[in-house]
Amino acid sequence: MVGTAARARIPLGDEMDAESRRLLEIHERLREITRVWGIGERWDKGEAQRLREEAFLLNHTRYYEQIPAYRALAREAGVGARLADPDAIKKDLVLTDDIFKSYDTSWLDRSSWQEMTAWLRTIYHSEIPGDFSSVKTMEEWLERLGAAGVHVIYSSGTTGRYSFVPRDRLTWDSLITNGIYTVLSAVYRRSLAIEEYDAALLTFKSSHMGIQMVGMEIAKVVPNAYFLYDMAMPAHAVRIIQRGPRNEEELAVIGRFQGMLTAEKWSRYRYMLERIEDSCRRGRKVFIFGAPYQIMEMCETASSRGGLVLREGSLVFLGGGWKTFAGERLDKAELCRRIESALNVPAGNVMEGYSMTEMNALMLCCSNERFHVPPLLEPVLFDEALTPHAEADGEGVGIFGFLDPFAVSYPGFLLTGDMVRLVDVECPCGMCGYAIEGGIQRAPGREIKGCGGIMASVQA
Amino acid sequence: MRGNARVGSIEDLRNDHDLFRRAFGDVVRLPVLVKGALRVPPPVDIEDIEAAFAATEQKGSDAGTQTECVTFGNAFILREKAVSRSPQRYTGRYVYHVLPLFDPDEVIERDRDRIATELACMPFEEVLAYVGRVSEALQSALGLVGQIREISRLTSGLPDRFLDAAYDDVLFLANPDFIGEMVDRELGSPGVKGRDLLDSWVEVPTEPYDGIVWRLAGMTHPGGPTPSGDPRKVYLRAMPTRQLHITAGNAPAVPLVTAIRAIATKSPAVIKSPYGATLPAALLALAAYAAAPEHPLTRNLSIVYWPGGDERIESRLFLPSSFDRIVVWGSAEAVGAVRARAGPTKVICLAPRCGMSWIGKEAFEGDALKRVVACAARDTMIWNQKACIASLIHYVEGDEAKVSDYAEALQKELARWDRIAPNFIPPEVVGRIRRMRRGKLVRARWLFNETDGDLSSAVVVAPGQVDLLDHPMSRLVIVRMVSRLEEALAFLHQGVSAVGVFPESRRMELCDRMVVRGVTSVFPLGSCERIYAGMAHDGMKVLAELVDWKNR
Repeated sequence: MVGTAARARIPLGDEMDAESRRLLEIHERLREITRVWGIGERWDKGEAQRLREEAFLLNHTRYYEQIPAYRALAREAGVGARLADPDAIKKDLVLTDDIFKSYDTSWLDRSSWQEMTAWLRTIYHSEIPGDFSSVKTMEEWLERLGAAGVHVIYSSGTTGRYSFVPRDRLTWDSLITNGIYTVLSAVYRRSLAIEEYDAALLTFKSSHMGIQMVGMEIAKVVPNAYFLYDMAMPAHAVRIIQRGPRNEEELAVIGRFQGMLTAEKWSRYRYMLERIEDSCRRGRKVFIFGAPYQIMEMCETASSRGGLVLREGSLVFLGGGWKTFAGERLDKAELCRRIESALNVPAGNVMEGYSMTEMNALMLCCSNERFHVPPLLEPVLFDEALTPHAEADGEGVGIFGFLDPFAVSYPGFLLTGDMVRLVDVECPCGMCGYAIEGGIQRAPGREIKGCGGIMASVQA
Repeated sequence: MRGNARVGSIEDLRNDHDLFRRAFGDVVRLPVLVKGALRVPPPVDIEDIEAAFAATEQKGSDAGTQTECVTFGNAFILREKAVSRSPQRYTGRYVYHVLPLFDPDEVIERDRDRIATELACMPFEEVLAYVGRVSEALQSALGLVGQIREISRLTSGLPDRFLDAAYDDVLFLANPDFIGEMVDRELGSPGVKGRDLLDSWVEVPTEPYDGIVWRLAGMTHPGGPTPSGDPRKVYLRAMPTRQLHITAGNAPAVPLVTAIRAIATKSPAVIKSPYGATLPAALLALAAYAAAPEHPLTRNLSIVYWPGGDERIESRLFLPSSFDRIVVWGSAEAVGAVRARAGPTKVICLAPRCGMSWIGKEAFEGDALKRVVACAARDTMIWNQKACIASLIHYVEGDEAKVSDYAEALQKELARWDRIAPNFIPPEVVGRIRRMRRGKLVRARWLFNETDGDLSSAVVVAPGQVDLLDHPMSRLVIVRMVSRLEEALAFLHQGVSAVGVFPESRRMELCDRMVVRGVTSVFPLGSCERIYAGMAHDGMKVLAELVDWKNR
């Protein structure tokens, strides 16, 4: 057991207290509003706002009482366990998404999983049972945490330092349900049914990494799914690549892994295309999911074989960044042209999602290039000094933050590193409410205008 | 001395062309030098300037992008945020610098013979005389230098005392004695002065090895043939190169430092004036023109501005045939972009680096701590922590209590600096510090200093490893506890320029182990700002990289 014995505040079942019960009611109601929003029907913005704010205040109390890092921030701001004004949260109680990287990286490299677990507890809402001192690898640590009821998703981010986001069962279910809800809504809006699809997933079959898990969850809702990498993703290999190999064994590990991602890549794409052809022959539509550069590579492979004609209604879902390994930014219009030419999927059936490991919702990009924010979330813009924007309508340009009522097990009042333009619109696509338009940039602050500074991410 | 024709003093030229004055309150016209010709910008109205920026910003739809430069007519117009001084804050207004356009082909030297006849054969003493004249021209215009410094003050984030010192340094650096010594040390070798190698072919006292073919040829033609000249004598020479210097704006002296290197190597050069330090670069352009307009060094010198990444200009300048050396100072992005495009041209990268302080356990003996902390703060404050040698992180040998004492003493010491040189931490940097505080360093102990209610400096005791990329370089020190100083060896790399060490015995003990890990300078704590003629810069003797070494 790490820390003193205690229980999570929201046990599932009969022991649930009134506040927890109320929080779950709010969750359900927000999902219902989101369902209505997702199919383009009228919904009550005011009600969604009120529900979210009520959830934020309930969550504040929970975080304060149960999450050490949040409590420290609140105390520093002079805020107690009970709060009446949700605006106080935006002003003083928003943590950055770097909170999930606030461990000492040397623990990872020394395989100090007990210390990592103790750190995880500082951002998690309950004690984490178990002895992790004998754990050997990151995969094993994540598996053991999962067995203890702590579902950790990680992502590598732009600097290569992992984020670890711990979810209890409730938050985990929200993540899956809310994400799938949004995807299914988009499918239904096209008058299609998910049961008619096979899924071609350009991901690993199993992993704790955020983007890979999207593939795993899609696989669960379609009758037939196939993966580009029909195996578990070796998390430790990714870490070794990031910090450099330290011995022959590690060199061999990354040699095998990189071989799979490079030398074997094209044969794997050919295999995927054969499976897609097979689905077409069986009269099935195909739902393809992958990062933009992967989809581009698969289109190249398909074109070199004369192209494929997927059944009408087939979909391509893009997730992840728009840069290639060489650092070049792909052009979306060009990618859509390639997809149509190589796979016979029109641009209207190419979907793009924006989310992050720390968020329990998904934003989809519409044909007007707007990422629509579901009523599940409250977006907040911050200025460069990280002060929340004062505008009442919430519109403008700023650093994107959000308050997530579904984050029960970790602090869900978060600031990202993305700079966005937020609008409150009735979009011609049929959706209304908040949306991000005009692209997503990294927030400024990294530029060094002199010889002083740091060339790259480096630990010290 | 050549190039004695006079075109008037710096102040005459300033008055004739209406330069370095605040028109419409916030518009300043600056000259550039295009191969020795002074070029001044066209007159531009403030309304036109504001309209040009508004139009550019309307076109750009990306969130968060901010326009720093627009082209209007025949001018580049730079926009810098105005900063009030007491207290230092962004005022919401802008100051505009107007500089004339140029054609990249105008500044590229394609006549190699001209380099041989005008520059390579010029005695080095004439270089020193030239520098002396430029220095005199500056000395005779101290009033104008002072006015330019006041214009800099309108936008500078540097504390006043640092800004004043920066302009004093401009005069100090243009010092012929210093430059002569620098050339002798960086290019020379024992018994040979660098200036001799620049001026002529210097015989190398050695017995050359003639090679395998020479030996075999003796078998085919016993006794001959004999090559012309004396086959046993060899000569070495340092020849000028065509240089492009892309400078950084973190310190006003950088354009001058880099220009001096070009001049000292008798090389035709193009100096890119940096955003943030266009004023001192323009002052240098005016001084060179006023001092010796016809001098070959002036006629082979261009000091110009263009916005970094301008394809129209850089596609020509980065062609393989345009320059022999590209010197790039600045951000990782700038260095990476130049490297990627330079092709076969030799690139000398003065990439972002940082300094550190290593505090041995001896600091806690007797009453040493106060003195040690004062020295460590001194290394931290170099160019207000913006310089590549300024200390960002202090490794302290001791237990938690001692490290805590050190951090608290350092906080007080930084507060003293805040009083004598009030610090401006702009909102974006406040945001970066908050991001650290509410993110990766949420578990750290933070000690903040405030002046008039604004954050002015801080010390953070980090409980574990930190990512230096997050460091805002704005009078913030990260303190890390180590049980032995040797533990900090693991954190040294090529990106560390200087380390100040206390005590001296530990510096001597650890020095070689530190430098093999990439550190350029290991100095006594408190003396990391020291410079001397001929010193290594980023692991190089830069002048030796700038010249082309030739054999005869």
